[in-house]
Amino acid sequence: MKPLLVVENLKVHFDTYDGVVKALDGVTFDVYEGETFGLVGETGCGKTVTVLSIMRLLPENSRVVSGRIMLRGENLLEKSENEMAKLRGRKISMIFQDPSASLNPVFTVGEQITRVIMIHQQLSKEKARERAIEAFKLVALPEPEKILKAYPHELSGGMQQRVMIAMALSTDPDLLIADEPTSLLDVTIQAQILKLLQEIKNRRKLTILLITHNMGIVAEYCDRVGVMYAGTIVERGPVKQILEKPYHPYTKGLLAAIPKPESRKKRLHVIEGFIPDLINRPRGCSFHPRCPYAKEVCREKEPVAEEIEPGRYVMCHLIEEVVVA
Amino acid sequence: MSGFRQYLVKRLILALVVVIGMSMITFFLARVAPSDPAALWVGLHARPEQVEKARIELGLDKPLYIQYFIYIRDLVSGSWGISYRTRRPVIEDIMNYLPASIELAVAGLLIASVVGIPLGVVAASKKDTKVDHACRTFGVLTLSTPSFWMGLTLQLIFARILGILPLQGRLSPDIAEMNPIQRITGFYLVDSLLTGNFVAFQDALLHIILPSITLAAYSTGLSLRMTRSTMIEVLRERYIVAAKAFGMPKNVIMFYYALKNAIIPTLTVLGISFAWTLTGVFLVEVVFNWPGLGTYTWRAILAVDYPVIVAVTVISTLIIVVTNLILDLIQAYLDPRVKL
Amino acid sequence: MRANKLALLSAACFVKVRSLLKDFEREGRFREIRLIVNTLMKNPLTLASIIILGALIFIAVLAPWIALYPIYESNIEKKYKPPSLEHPFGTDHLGRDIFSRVVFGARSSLIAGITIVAISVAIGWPLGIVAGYRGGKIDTLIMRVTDMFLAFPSLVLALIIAFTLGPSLINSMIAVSVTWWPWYTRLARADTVSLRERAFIEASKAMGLTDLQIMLRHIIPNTAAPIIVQATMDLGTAILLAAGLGFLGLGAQPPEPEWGLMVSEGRPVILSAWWVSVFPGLFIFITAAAFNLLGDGLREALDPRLRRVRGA
Repeated sequence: MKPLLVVENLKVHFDTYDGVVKALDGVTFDVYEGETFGLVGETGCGKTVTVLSIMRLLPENSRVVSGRIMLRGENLLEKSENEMAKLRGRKISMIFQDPSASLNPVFTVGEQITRVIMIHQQLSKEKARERAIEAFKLVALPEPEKILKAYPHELSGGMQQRVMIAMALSTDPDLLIADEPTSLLDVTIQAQILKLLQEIKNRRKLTILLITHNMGIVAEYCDRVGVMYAGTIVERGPVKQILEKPYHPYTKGLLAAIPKPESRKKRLHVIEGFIPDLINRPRGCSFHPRCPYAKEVCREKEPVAEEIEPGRYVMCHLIEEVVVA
Repeated sequence: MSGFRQYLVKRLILALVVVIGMSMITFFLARVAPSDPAALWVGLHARPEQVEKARIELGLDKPLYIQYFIYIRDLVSGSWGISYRTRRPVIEDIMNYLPASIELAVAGLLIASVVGIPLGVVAASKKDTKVDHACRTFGVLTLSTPSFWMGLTLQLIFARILGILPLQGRLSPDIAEMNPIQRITGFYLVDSLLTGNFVAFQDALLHIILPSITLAAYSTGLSLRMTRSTMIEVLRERYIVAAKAFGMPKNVIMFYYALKNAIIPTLTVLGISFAWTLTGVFLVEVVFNWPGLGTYTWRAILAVDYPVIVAVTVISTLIIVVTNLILDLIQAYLDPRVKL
Repeated sequence: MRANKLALLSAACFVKVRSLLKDFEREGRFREIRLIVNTLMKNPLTLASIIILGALIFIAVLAPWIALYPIYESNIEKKYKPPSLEHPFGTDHLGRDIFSRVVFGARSSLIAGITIVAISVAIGWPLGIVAGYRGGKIDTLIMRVTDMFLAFPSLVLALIIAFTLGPSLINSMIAVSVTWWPWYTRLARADTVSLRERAFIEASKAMGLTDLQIMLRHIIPNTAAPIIVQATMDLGTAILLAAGLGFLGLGAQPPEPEWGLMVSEGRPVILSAWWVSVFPGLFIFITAAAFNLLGDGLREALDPRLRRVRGA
């Protein structure tokens, strides 16, 4: 399988009043064609910054300090704004976390989706409308003609998100980036939407980059996963393997923290400490202040990602000891 | 659409309450004035019996609330009293002077909107660049200029030193004699065009340039600032980023997508501009000797001519209330989120 | 006996201020204030406006020492003298030195502006908070009254009040304040309504704070920023209005050295003795511009911080 998207050593800084925030400190991962790659981590670890960097939609006070983002061999960071505008919505599409905020309240959803279609394909309004109805049917929206005339606030959260997915997929993109598409929805709707995405992916040749903070979603819907912490990917590999045998202490902590009803323990497992200050990052490994296994070397040197098994990468100095443990 | 009708009725009632309230306040304030209206009516050299007679004639001997009812009754029936100063029916004077003020106000508002709003959009789209700073500085300067001083300075520069624009008034006296404008609407610019009187049209146009620019200054700055902050807020919204993510090109976003979101608050801007324009009209008319309601009212105040003052207050309140009502209704109609 | 009470009172004040300052320190407010001041200083226009305003206040306070000549004495032989070393701004129709009168005029204008805004804020802000927080009938009542006053163009009401009470600087200030407080009510109410829904307000209620305590402790500080910004910009407009009324003869009366009045006094001779009108008007412009620039700068400095809620 060929990688569709390769992110190499991406470093992104933000200039703020309080100092320079080093949001991404060397993010590396790749996404293969046809798979669902999950990017999982706590709030604030840099997941959204990563995908916004891919889309080149970062805010003004940001700087890409180093790295490459290769889409089918072309470096997206070197493209001009015009070239990016042609790619967005056409080759790479993105759906956001809060569908009610992502749709313009003063236009009907029909107007919004037909406009997107017309921008990317030279179609007449009627043809675009037909394609919009097709797209709505694809995402299982009932009564598509009626929905075209509706305003965003007249639809439920789940329907709004389906509209967004329809808009994103109406142009048949190669890569779909989904930034926590279900975090704000009810659990049952969550399942529906994620299943829908999976079905569509299987039907068409779609690759999905799924951002989430929920390990359960990763387990259920992702093929491979990258675990992010404080702006780096600390562990990366096939989901099954990582779930069965996590290597990085952070991953272990995350999985241990999932409440299990059959467990006899009285207290939930907790990862001690707080996420680090991104302006004054700790020296060495960014996780070491919270790591139960931390040693001298962790405080001094930054770890590099090592491929300990084929396709499995971990950023940790103590990998042998931890593996044994 | 019955929700809309409900809203309309509700707003109308509100507007009515406001106007009634204002009329009450005006009336009682005017009656509280220290000067004796009866004496003013009759003149300085009148004898006491004449003053008494005038008092009875003017109905000033009746209790206050009866006076108020008489006043309201007269107001509604259109007899708004006689001006103490001009001795003409107030309503006649007002009808004479109102068109001049409206013409000036509309010209001022037009200039302010055409200059202020687009500059605000440009400033927002190029936020924090030199263009933005230049626009904002321009806005601040126009907001800070005292209109009377600006009028005087413009007169000095353009009318006297450069001599290219007329000093004051609506029409040159010789044009008024040789090519008088036939009165259809009372708006010189409109009437002269309608009757093909191009000489007078040109003259009227030259006369209105300086006053309308002076009047427009404050509203321009205001419109610029408010449009800019509205656009900035709209551009920050998530749906704008989402639109970009779908590949919408920047100019489509600015001038079609975001603009529709910004229209509703822009109407608010227009409403406020209009209110300030009405305020500025007074000062500008006085400086340029513009024969409008502002000059008329000013003279009325100096002469303690209170039928005029009361009438003008009610009119200006009515104008503002009606304008705000119309703007509110348009906004409610345009915004799909308002549950109508 | 009196001395004891005084001592007790001042001790109590001292302790109160001390604890307030400690609260500030704990909540990092000093750091915030320093941050705001830093941001203000970075913008050259804002910095310029602060300097100008500082100079104006300086001039107004030290007017008796800065003025060159007595401002009320007429000297007919010296009338309409153009600007010179002796009379930097020239003389007016009564031979009075315009520079000295402009310097004293700073007092009336600054006082007028500050009074108008202070009264408007003092009335409007609390009313807005009460309306926004309580909602229901009180809200409707307050907002109806506010709408009523909003419909009145301030100049018209100022004219009426000048007419009723007689023209003077004080009356014109009252007149303008009476029409201005509605803006602050609206501003405060809108902010309060959105704050009311926040979780920390519910938490405070759950902790047993009364409505009044919540309004004092939480709502007031969090609605302060837009009010401050608006008030600063309004100071510029207030000065313009006060001067406008002076110009129309409905504000300060002669022989007061009020800037607007001085401009009107120079109007008959604008072509021959332009300095009589131009200099006072210039100062009105500079003052209003400084306040507006400062308000603009404050808005930039306070805005993103405004959204970060304190006391949560």
